[in-house]
Amino acid sequence: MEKATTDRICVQVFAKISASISHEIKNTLSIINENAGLLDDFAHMAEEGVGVAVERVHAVTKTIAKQVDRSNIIMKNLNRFAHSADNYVAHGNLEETLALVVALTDRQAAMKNITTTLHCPPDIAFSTYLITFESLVYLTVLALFQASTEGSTLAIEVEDETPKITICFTVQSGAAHPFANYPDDDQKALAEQIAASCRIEENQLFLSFPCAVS
Amino acid sequence: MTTIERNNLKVLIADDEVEFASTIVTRLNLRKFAATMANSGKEALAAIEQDPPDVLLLDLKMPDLDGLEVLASLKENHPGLAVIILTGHGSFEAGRQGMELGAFDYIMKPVDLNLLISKIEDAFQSKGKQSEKTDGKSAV
Amino acid sequence: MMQKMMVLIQGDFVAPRFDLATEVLMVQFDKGNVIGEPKMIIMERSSDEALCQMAVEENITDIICGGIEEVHYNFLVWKKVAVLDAVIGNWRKAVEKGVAGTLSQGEILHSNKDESLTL
Repeated sequence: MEKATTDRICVQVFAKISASISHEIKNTLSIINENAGLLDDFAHMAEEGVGVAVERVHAVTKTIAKQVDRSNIIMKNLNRFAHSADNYVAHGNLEETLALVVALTDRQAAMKNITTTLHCPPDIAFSTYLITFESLVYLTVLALFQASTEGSTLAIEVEDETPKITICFTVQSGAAHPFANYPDDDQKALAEQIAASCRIEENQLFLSFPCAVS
Repeated sequence: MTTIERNNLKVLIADDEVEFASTIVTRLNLRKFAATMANSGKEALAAIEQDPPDVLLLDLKMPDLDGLEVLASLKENHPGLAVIILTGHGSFEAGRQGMELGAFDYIMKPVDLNLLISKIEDAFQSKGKQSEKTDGKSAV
Repeated sequence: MMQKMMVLIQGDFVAPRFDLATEVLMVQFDKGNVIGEPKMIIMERSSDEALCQMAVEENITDIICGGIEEVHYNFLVWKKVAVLDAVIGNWRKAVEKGVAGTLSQGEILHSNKDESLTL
């Protein structure tokens, strides 16, 4: 598969993630904006001699602080993902990388009320085309969300089978064939670049790839 | 803060961001509105069935039913309800669809509360005008 | 109430087509008087949807343009924007008349004469 093709897919994934994150940031800003406005309302009420309970003010400032934290985490995730493209082939910690991708899909999971769990041994290091790998996992998770019914669960488990690693995606869903359209052309192209192969068994998808790409 | 008598105008805010919706509810209620909230599309439809509001503020991106689906359902079952769409990104396409599904207007988040209030009042008034028209037609 | 006008231009003229316009002039005015300096925006590429979004984001109250598709016209009217479309002629003159409240839809503005012809 041509590098230009995988680069194009990675750019599309990056665009998708940026769109989703800008939406989330708009949400946090809206909450901060409204709560700042509410503090202003309280100030006016106090000026007019209407008593405002201190707990109400504390609750508002707490909400603002919480949303600032939330924004910070969202931006940190985007920043980390953006830096995945710094080096063509990069060494990484698999658990951290998968946790990042899962966090980047949080909003889509929430929209369908899907619970995602991740179990990965903490010490697995790998070396691969990092942004390609992340894009593949991201597209895989989104495809599984799309094929799952509302309220499903997606369990992601990792097996270290040095010299290869296998990620198992298990879908507990009302959908009859959650993997019916997997992999599509984009997922195939990305998998090919990182020498990954996939296998499907009932409600499980196994994605295997070498610990280090040659 | 202006405290215009709003005669307990009933406003329902449908938004899955609970902290956003609840703060808007508090701020509107401080201004004499009777505001309540729903945190999903289905919840909003159920609340409308139980007690139809005068004006609905509807977020476009929600779990279960998204805003446009809610709007489509309302067009069928509550065609007279005045709806203002709340959206993070005011894309032309979302606005166009909202317009075609009979929304009164759309406002981008973060919201300017004074602008929101004037839109709520405009929407309510236009709803009044619409029902006058409908009443006129049925009388004929 | 302060109004904000958006004029789609091409060279010296009102852009004949909304969807192909890349130059946008914004003028704030109140009771026939221009307030502050008009602002000129050059878009990277023409896009009728981007223009609609810009009109909403900038809280535009009035638009002067040439031909515009019905869907965009309806959208802008829905957003309570007064759209004076099918205007032909020099944009400075269009702005002058627009601010004064004497410009009408479909007006042809003659650059060398004071008079104008309304269709």
